[in-house]
Amino acid sequence: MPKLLLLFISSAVVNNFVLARFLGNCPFLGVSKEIKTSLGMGVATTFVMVMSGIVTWLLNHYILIPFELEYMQTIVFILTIATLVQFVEMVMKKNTPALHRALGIFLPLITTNCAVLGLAVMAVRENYSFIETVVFALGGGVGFSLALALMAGIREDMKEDLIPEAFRGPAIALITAGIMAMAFMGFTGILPS
Amino acid sequence: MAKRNLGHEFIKGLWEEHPNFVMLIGLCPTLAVSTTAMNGLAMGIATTFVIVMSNILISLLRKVIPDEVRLPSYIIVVATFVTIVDLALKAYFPDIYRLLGIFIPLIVVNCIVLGRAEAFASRNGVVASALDGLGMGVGFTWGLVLLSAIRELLAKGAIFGYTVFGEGFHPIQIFGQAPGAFIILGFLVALVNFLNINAKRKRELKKISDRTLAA
Amino acid sequence: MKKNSIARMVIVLMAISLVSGAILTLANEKFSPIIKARESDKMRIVAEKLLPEGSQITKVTNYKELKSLVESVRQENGLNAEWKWDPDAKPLESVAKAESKDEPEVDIDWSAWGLEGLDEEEITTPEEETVTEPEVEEFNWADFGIEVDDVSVGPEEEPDTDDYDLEALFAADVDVNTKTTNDTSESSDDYDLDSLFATEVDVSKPEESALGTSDEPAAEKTPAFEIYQAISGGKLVGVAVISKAKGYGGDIVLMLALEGTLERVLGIDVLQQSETAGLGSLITGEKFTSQFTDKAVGNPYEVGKDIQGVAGATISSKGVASALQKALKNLEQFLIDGTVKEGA
Repeated sequence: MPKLLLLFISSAVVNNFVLARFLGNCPFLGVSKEIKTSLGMGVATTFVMVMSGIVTWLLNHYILIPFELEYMQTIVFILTIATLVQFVEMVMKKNTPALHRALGIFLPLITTNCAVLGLAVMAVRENYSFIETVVFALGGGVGFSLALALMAGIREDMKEDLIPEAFRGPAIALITAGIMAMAFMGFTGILPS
Repeated sequence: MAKRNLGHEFIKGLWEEHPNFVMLIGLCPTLAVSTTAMNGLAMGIATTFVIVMSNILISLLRKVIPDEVRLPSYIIVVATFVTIVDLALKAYFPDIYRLLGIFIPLIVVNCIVLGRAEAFASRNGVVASALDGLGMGVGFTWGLVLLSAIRELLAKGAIFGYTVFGEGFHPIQIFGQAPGAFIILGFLVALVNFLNINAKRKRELKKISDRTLAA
Repeated sequence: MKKNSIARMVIVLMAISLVSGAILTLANEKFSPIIKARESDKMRIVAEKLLPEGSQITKVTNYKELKSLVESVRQENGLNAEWKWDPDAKPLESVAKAESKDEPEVDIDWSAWGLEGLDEEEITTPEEETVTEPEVEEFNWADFGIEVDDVSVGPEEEPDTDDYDLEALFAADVDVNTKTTNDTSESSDDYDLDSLFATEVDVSKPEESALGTSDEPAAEKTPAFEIYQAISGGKLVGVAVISKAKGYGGDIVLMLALEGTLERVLGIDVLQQSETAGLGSLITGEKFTSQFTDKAVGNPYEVGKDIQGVAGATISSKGVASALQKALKNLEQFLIDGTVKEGA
């Protein structure tokens, strides 16, 4: 149990997907203008990450490895994720239209979010067990949402500020992200190994 | 659109629509692998290959693929090329393969590749698409090499592994790590913005002065 | 019309999938032998670098063959035919002090500064992190009592007196300031941590679980355990063992090269690591790895005592130590029955 907790903390904070592993930067800069939308994006991404973590693990261990098709990993994983996103969108639309209205616009963006595919590939390369993969995915999703929400909060505040014209928009957001990454580096010490 | 200058399709990716600095796409690999100039160059070449090849193929198939399934088809095409690059790097350049790590399979979700397929190759001819892909790839590569050269210089005092500063140089480790990547890219984006804004201003000033002169 | 378009969709998708599948299969068939060859080539190149020059290097598959080779070499050198790795070897300091005086080849008064040096062993200052090879070198002599003749002191191993004094002075200064603090004067975060976790990560007994995950297929990764032998003139002149352990940022895979008698380390090389850049990654550096060269095998490789860890990256350094211990443990087991206790 403590091992899983550590894995969660590791993937959520210490090795934050966005700020330490550089995954999911496009939505991180694109959808971080308001806290509300960024939280929606975070929840949707976390959900897809956990789902795709589960499905890709099963696919990898019960189809790809037994048939020695490991070289097909990339193609299978990305197709799985794309299908999954489509599927989630369909189910959401039918059963929870309110949620779909809130998250629907983010779903197509998630397919090309490298945090999702990155998670699947990393879980394979690190040889995580099933439970570990789920925890890793959950931690990654939470870390992604956290970074996104923090960024959105800062950017909302920054709207009022006088920023040199050239730095406005993505430039200052990137520098802010750099400073946030520096702060997140401070978490490095909390893991034993 | 087909009448547009073919040279323009190539050149626009180098500055006007530069993927990293202007369109801000494909940032994940840009930030992650830009630790040394060599890594940046390798990643840039790998990505360029994938963009060009998938652009060509998608442009060829654009009339065959029904609109409803175009995204999955593009993904398959791109993923195929990415896997080939992945295997080839693993076979011939194992060191580079290890350094680039998971970012080789992640070329699939690099917004540049799918973005160009969707926005350009699905609507244009083969030659234009190939040139567009090449332009974008070269643009991406120079952005990546510039960023990673700056980072390597500050973090290791070297460029492409050749020491530039002497013994007395104290490396600034932070630029080799995550925060440095964000901050330097931020400044580069600002620099490009600044140059563009200045150019625009000059054009406008010139227009105004022309008008006043004419009047 | 609608039926038509669905059929077309399915056919196009299927066709694309099939073609790409076929292309990938072809690519895989072409590339995978090269990848495999390269993997073993990589090992061989490293092994060639570490093992004696001019020897014939082959991968060991039959443990009996290796066993008999080891036994004959050991007997020739007047050693017990059966090799045993003793992880609980005596602490080296005491032996070092006693024996260093008799060291004929070194014309420096080892013990005089050795006494000082040992106190300072654990103190590293940020500037002087890994500069203590000479101190470390001293230890091998000691443990090496039995085979002193075998150990030839290369000129490069003779410590430079000037350097040394400076360093001793410097370290002594620091000593005063840091005595009350931790055992190190580093400000780095993982250092403190390390002492906290020291009880958990017992270096002399590598965790069994560290390799627990490797039972899953890992065909394309660096192998967790592999042995190479170097033969020259019909005699075993070296053995190289590949071993793996957990570091700070992931697995550390390294190669340990031993001389034929399995009593002395020829050198180590870190093959694979994902430690923090600029800190833990320094375990690949010459400064760190050269400490192991010529060390006695019966060494506990305790970081801070027998080897100088990389400053600010004790967990990475300990990972190397635990990989070495695992290598020796595995080798011992391998020579007994050809199996490997942990990992592989």
